[in-house]
Amino acid sequence: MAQPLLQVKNLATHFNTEEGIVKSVQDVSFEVNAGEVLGVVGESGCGKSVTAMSILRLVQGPQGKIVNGEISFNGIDLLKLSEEEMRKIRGNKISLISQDPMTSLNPVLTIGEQIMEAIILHQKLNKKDAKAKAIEMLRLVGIPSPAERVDQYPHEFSGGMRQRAIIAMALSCEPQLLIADEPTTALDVTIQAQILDLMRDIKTKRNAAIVLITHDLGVVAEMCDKVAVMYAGKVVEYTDVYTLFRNPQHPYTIGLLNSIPKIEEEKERLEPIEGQPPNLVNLPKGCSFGPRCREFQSICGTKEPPVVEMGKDGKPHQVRCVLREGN
Amino acid sequence: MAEDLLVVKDLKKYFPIKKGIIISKEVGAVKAVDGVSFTIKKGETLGLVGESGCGKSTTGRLILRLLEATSGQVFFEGKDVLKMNATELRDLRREMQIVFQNPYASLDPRMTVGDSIAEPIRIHKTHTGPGVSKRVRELMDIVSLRPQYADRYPHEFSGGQRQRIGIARALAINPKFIIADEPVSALDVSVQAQVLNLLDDLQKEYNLTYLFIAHNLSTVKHISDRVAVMYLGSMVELATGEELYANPLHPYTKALLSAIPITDPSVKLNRILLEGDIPSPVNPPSGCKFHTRCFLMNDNIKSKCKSENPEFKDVGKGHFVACHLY
Repeated sequence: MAQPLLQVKNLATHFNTEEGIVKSVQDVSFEVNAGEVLGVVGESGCGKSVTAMSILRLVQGPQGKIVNGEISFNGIDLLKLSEEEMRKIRGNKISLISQDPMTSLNPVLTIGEQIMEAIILHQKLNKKDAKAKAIEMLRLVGIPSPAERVDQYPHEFSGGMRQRAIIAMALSCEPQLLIADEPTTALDVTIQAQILDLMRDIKTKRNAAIVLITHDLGVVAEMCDKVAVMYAGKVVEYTDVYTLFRNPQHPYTIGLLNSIPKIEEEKERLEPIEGQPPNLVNLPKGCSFGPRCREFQSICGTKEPPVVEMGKDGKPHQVRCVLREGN
Repeated sequence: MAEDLLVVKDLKKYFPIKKGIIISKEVGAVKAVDGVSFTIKKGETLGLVGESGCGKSTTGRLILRLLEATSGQVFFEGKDVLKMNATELRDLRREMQIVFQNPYASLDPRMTVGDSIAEPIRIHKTHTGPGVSKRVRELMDIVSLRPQYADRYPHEFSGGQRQRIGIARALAINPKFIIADEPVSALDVSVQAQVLNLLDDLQKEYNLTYLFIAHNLSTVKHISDRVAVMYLGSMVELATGEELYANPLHPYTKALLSAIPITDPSVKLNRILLEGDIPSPVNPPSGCKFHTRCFLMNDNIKSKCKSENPEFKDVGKGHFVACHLY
């Protein structure tokens, strides 16, 4: 098999804070092929956004640092590139769709100017051609009358349209990899449906790879081919989307799937996961999920959980749990 | 059949838009709530759903008179809430409380949580002297917080715990009716279920009546007996949870339900994609407010949809809908 477009191996990103070292991302590994959507799921503070920022090398120094790992994109290790070389990739080959359309646009520049910036920088077009391209991109993402809209400011756009504009910006240099960090969280459901539809379209038409970061398991089921479930900085389960929903193995994944109310079934009572996500400065000994785990046994509190390969027929299904060893 | 605890009739709230600094004049109005009517029975949970800006939170605030309505009537146990004077209103607030959306902003950061919970008790003098702190400890126990944490400040608690504090505060003076305005939206998924179960338990224990306002339809379906759907300040559909989800009548409800991502990757989507955005409530479309995005409008009723506001009527078994198709 050809090598994957993006391969992350044993990534670790730490932040130095007054309270101590926050190990936001620890030993994270996954792969994404062209035309594939990888979902990264987890709750706030589990390290999913820091993983995305690490891939783009946007982790802010001096406090934040990628301390270990390898991020290979098209066979090139991004962590070994100079800042200059990295800048040529960012927004060009790899682009980011950020979470909050309300704050990620510059309010004093027109939508067109913001889209043109990347086009002029990476594709070396002149202003006139860049503007034509910006209009074309706006049309592509379904903004009505793009020729007029291109000269408007962000406040003249609704939330859903701003997110479309951000997607237009991300797509303008025909990236091979899109990183979408909670692209629909700030949007209403009917608008979310429109944006997800657009992203699916991009995936099929352009054969782009997407890393989709979300906390919504419904969005994962709908959009993703593969899923990495994160908890307290680590990937606790990594498999294809069908296996994840049919045969989840990590107690956290099982708990998460049981705790959400589902529209398609009637349930008298929800089964919550007890307790709170841990403080990353002061993680529990052994398995980080241990104190909230229903299957907790004494070994979980002492031994660092290993990654257990449970996949059949060569399909990956990795579970970070000591209790699944030997299965 | 249980009696009606709350009756809302043709409730309206228009926020004026003013222009000019020295001589300010009204140039228009945001029709946030535009003629909403419904009832809530004793011990029932009514879910109120809709997208941002549809007027669901405003409706909640109008009922509590945290905002003054432009017109309409609200009856709580037969008494007209909107005509009450300040003294009567204070008595009413003993019966009606609210749990706010954002547990990070709705607690005073400089008050210990014990004092926050005690505040309504002191104002309404339901307990005095040492009885106050005893009641605070009791309330913290009810919402599963350790009573010894009463001397701590809000920043020492997580989001889920803060929301429990907000609930304890609302419960402090034994109200009959609680408005929960997006009580779990700001919480992590794994913690949401804890708070939903708590609300469920409290309702059974104290025979509470809820108005549950949220944008997450799965959550609303789980907790509510009946569900009302709002669009641009108007109620478009109201039915029991099962009926609404199994047999949605209004085209907006149909689209809204079909837009929810299903947590099963093998389900083939049969999605109704609405075009465009929600129109501005400053200048809502004429006739049926949904007609600009409606996919079921046919030539027979087209002119009616564009000119006449559809009546919110019962089409059988308490299933209300405002649409010219029915």
